[in-house]
Amino acid sequence: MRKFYSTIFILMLCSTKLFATELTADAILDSMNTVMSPENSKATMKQVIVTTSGRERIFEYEYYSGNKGKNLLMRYIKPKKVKNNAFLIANNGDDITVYFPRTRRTRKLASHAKKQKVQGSDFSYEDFSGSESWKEDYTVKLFESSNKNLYSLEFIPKDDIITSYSKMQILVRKSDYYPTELKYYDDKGIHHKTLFLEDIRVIEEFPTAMAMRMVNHIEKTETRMEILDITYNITFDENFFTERNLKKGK
Amino acid sequence: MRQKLLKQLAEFTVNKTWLSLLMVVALTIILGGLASTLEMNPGFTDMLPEDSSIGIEYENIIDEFDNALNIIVLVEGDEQNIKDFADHISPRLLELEDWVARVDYKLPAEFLKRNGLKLLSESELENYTEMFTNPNLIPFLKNLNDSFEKEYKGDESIDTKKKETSAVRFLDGIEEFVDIQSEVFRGDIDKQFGKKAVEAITVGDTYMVSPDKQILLMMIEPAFNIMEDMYLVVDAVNGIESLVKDESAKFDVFAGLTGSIALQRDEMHAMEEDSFTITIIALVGILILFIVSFRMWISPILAILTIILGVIWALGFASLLIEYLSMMTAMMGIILVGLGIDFSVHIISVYTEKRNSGFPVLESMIETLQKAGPGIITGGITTGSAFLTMMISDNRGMYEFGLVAGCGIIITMLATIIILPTLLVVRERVTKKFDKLVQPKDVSYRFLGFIAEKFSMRYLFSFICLMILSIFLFYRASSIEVDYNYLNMEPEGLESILLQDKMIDAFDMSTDYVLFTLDDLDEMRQVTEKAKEMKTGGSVESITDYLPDDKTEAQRFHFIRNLRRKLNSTQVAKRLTTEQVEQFILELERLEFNIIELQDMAYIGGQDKIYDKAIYLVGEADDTTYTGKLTSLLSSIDEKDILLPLTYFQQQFAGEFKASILEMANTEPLTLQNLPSEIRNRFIGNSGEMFLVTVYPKKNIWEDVNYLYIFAEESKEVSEKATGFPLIFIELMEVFTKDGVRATILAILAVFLILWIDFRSVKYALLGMTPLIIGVIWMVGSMELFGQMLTMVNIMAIPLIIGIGIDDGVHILHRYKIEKNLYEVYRSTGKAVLLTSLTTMLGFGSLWFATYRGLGSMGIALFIGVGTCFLATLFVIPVILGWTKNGK
Repeated sequence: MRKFYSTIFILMLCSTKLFATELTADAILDSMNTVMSPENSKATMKQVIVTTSGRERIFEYEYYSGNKGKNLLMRYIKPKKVKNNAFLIANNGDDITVYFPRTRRTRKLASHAKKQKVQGSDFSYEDFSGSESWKEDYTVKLFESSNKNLYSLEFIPKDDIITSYSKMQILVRKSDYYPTELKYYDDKGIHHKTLFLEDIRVIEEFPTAMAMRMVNHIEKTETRMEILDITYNITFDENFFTERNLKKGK
Repeated sequence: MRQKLLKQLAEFTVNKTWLSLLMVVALTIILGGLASTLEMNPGFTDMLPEDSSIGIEYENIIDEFDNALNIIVLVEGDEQNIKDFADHISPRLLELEDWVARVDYKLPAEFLKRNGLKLLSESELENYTEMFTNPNLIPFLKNLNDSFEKEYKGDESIDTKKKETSAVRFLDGIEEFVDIQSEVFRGDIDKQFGKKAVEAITVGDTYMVSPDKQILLMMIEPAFNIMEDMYLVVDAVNGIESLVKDESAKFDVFAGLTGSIALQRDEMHAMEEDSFTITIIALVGILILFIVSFRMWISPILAILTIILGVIWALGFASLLIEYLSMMTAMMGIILVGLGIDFSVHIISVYTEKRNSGFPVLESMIETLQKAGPGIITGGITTGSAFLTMMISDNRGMYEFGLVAGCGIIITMLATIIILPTLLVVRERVTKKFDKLVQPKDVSYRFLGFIAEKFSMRYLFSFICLMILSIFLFYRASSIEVDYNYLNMEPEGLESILLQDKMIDAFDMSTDYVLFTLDDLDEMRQVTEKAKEMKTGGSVESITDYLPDDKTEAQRFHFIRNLRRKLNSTQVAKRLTTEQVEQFILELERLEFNIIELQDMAYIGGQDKIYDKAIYLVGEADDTTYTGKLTSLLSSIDEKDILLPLTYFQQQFAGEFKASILEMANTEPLTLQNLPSEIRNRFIGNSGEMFLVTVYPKKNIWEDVNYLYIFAEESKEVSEKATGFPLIFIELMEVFTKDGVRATILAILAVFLILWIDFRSVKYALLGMTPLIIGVIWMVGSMELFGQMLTMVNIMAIPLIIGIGIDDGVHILHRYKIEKNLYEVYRSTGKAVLLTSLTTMLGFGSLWFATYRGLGSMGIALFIGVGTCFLATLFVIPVILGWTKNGK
């Protein structure tokens, strides 16, 4: 009997070891990408920014994500002043196009614009781009986390990548591989921003942060975004993430 | 010895009353004369340690750069009126030669016309080069639109405040250009139109006006050194203000003064008014309290008179110790009133008690001074010593405060012992009651005796209750927050502060910048570049903006030569075709679209100033009532009618434009010598060998203490010579906190030592200290409970309360040593202690009315502290005495 228990114990130990070795940084990133990057999604978002005069401004916009976050389309609903203004962020933030309904013209922003702040917020365009390409663009390492329920991943960009960050650190929940915190380090290695993913709910089988808070540690500012509603049960035709569709305001 | 001296003093007062009065009057005249020489100076740098490198550097900058501290005239009204007023008032201000060295309210237009292109960054120059290559109207508009559209593709984005401001200036130029077009098409032909349109595009508005053109700034450089004579500063500011206000009425504009010099005048004025008003409020409050509690009129008035004379003596003595009253020492008068009145309370209390018990005047006075005197002397010396411990501080403000308040309280104590007995006897002689005996009546507070007795009898239960309360308040005290927002200490409602806020809003001109001085141009360039990389830094100003290095200048000259070549090869068109008119309209429409898109991006990006400026040109998406000047122009143009005026305007514009750009496109190097005086003056010191770099923070540093500290830290990393108000404030906070802790510890030791010597007993000394320590814990805990925060000023209340709060226990224990009866002690001396606490609370509480909110926070802290020390004395001493007596 004693031998039986010893065998079981050794087997358990081996299996733990076996599973532990399997969970490499890349594997965790793959799992994270699976839960983070549903094929498509459509959401209504609310965002609060602070203007240069210190006034608070609230926006509501529709947010469409396709091809696992590679392509995004954001169309403003409120306030009336910017209704139907829209942004198309394609190819992981490399191509940014803006549509202005008052002039019915579109404009392209330069590729380096992905580093710039979006809409007076603490987010930059590249923060919106999907995590799908991270595996190719970054060297990922797994580190010990002080919280045993979380994995800690470190991302160092490869040389040929255009990014404003020298490093990212992401805390990922072991339970469902959903990230809770993304720390961004600037080109000098200073901890610049942290994105907190909060109020995580399971929507249509996907864990979803209903609130996001980007804290800028240098400028001591904070931008909050809320998801008012979201669905993943949506498909887009191939022309959806195009300039032509960008102009189709409601 | 002490008792003998006090007896002799009582006998002298009673037997030689008139001589004693004469001596008091003579001494008051002498010390009053000295007190009147004390001046006020509210400067912050004066409170820094003398060897503070930040303070020394700051004062060097003020010495070296005449315009480091300016008087700013803020003019508000319609655009034309404010500009007319500025043109009118400027020469009149310069006539005030003793006060005004120079007045700046315009950009150096001539310099910009000659060198504007050389001041642009490489990317700006690239854009402008394309925009300016063809001076003809329609190609210019086309190039302008191309450049606009390039904004979204190029390296530049409008993501900083500086760029936002420059975008607003650019739109401002377009607005004027559109205004001129409108006039041309209305048929108003003016030969100057071409020139004006070109100036609008190339130089812009040369007046220092806000983006909405409703506010204009004029910078007055003083002809005096503000560090030398504060009263000259006051005269100058008053004189300038009077002229500005009088003349502004003629132009239907509002004009007022702001900037650090006007602010200093207003703060000093507020301090002077405060110290007078608050002292009056305190005195009236104390008088009412006296009349109610002693149920008499004359004695309280005599007590008030005594304290007034005592404060005069103390101020007279202070004038021998310090040069002027700072923000810290200015409140000395009110502190002395609040504390000094206590001595009078004890004397009147015992004297009235003795007279009411049927004792004659001489015996009553001897009894009064012998019973109340030791407590008063010990109280005065302990309080004075506790204040004097602050002299250990490196901080000049704290050092002087300790010296002045410490000596002041001892002088006031001596004054009370000498003056009040004299006045009491004079009253008896004047009212001819000297030889009469008074009907006995009980004026004691029996309820205090009752409380003390109950607490003593139920010492264990009381002890547990007090322990629970103390632990709770200690816990609350430990979580009290520190308010680092300097603005919360500033006076409220002063015109200079209101105008400063208006200026900051309209011009994004933070006054909380960091300064660096360097004596080498190359080093200055390096520091400027490092400063531009500060994460917390906003715009950086230095002479490098006007004096590029050789490499940058060579690059710029390359663009400028190209531009010159292209421009020279382009002919000014004399005629326009109808097709060109159509093209003109198309380009105007394209310009409207570009501005609309810029406006939308600005709205989404939160850049209010660009958005608001664009409204003047293209209106708003959700507002149909205002269409904007450009939109109106487009809707009013009829292409058939404009060929002639447009051709005329094209001829004027293109000729002027070509000539202007060719003048700008010179390759004469910029040198220190050929910079205009407006620029030299801002960035080069009087010696000509010192250069100034100014770094503005990206956001309000007072809203977040961490941001303030990061900004300061980054500044120090750029250069060790960093100075400026943010750094001065941090140093002051650090010095105040460090010295506050040191002074508190030293004050506790000093008080304990004095009590030990006074009581000749460790037991009594410890007994006296216990309610004090508990009172301080209750004080800080209660402050936290009432939502108060520790500030740079009220942190001083903690060492102060050590000196103040000890008096309660001292008087009770002195009496207890004689009476050995808690009921009797608290009934009689308890009343005096309660009254002294209330008078002190009234004195400090009146600081709540101070315009200087920093002093208000100090007043509230001391008000709470004196109250908690009294309560601790009332509850804690009976429990300890009850335990030691009954617990054995």
